[in-house]
Amino acid sequence: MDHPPKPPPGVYVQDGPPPSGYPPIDVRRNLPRSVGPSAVALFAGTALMMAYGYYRVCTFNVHRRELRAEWRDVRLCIIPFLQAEDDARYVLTAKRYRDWESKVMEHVPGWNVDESVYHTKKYGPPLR
Amino acid sequence: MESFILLFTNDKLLIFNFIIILLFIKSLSYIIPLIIAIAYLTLIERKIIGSIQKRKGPNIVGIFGLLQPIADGLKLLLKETSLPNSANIFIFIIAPILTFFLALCAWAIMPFNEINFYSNLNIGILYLLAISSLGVYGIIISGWASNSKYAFLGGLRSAAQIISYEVSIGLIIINVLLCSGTLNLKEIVLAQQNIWYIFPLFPLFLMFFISSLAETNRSPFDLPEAEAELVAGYNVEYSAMGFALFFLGEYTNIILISAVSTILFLAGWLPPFDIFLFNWIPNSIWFGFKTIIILVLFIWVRAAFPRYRYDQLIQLGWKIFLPLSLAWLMLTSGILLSYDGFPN
Repeated sequence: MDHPPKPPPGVYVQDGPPPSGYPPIDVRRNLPRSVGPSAVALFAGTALMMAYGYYRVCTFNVHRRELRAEWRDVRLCIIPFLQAEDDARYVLTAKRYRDWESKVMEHVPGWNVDESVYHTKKYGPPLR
Repeated sequence: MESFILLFTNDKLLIFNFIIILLFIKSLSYIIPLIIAIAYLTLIERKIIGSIQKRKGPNIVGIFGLLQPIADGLKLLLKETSLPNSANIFIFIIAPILTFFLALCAWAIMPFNEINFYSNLNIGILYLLAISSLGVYGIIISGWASNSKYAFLGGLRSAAQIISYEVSIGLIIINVLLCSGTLNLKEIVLAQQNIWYIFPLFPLFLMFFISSLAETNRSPFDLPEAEAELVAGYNVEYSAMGFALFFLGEYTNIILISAVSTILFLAGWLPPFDIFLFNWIPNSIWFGFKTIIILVLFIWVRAAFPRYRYDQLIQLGWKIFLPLSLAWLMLTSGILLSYDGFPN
């Protein structure tokens, strides 16, 4: 900015604007759009990501259901074999106990090895 | 006394004693690293906030300020524990103990790995929600027992804030439960093997993060405990150990809720990609790494945002987050029903 020339001594000069005036000041609002994708782009991108995410969740849940059903079927198929083994073990153990009881009680008169210890005819599950 | 000694010398109870000692060592192996983590979280917070504000954080005590948490802890231990004359002494002392105790209890069900956890509870999420609901008692009790206007108001405000955001947290968690089909934290992580839940539930993750900021009384929702606003709120009358316990409880809750966010949305200990380089890193390291990311977000938000006014805070919880999370619940269940995506 050019400074005005110094006035001669004794002369009063008021500080004011230059003769041609100041340049115009831009007072318009300056709110630039933020850097990056627009709101629409962000919304669309999030919606696409969510759609893909839900698709993967649904497909994996179907897979998990099938896997759980398969494990359930495996357990159901194997149950008869396990039961058969358990039954065979029970029969063998019961025979051993009966043989041991008859050996121990052979000198006791009137003792029946297979007789029930209860006084009722009602069925009760065997003592294991 | 004799029966107590017999408990440890009787041969028949040897296995029982062995189990008790093992459980004690296991508990300590969880609690001690957690307390060290809390202590160094305070240092990380001060360093990160300092960096954001273009200054160094604490760097005098020890190299890079690494001994600062120890100095802080020692200072609090050696200070005089002042008990106000007119305070209800018993519950005044119980309140910080309760807060820290509950914060530690919640870590019992946290799975760091497929095999590394203290207890594998099938109703893990319910247990967590119950513990966080009980945590409100510590705050109300401390506010009441201090016999101070500021403490009482701060306690009430804090409690109201916590229960407001607990509702939306619960509804957000239900969305995750719909997708995973189980309340077991380990199973929730395993259900994210295909895709992390942050992708389909991204807006919910943002809401969960903001609600967890409010739940732990962190900035910008820390009006009830702000120094300028309410003279430090419900813990204004506490000094030394009482204050230390509240502080420890608050930071334990922060780490806890970061870990829960990791489990619910970031697939816990699972690596991002199931390929050779990512698989080499142990699973617990991935869990810790993701939790640290959330913790850094907590600290970043504290440095970046101004404080919410109390009415704005409550309005956000009840009039914005609650309807939004409820609506999202309907969206999630609608999508899963339409495309046969329910896990059960």
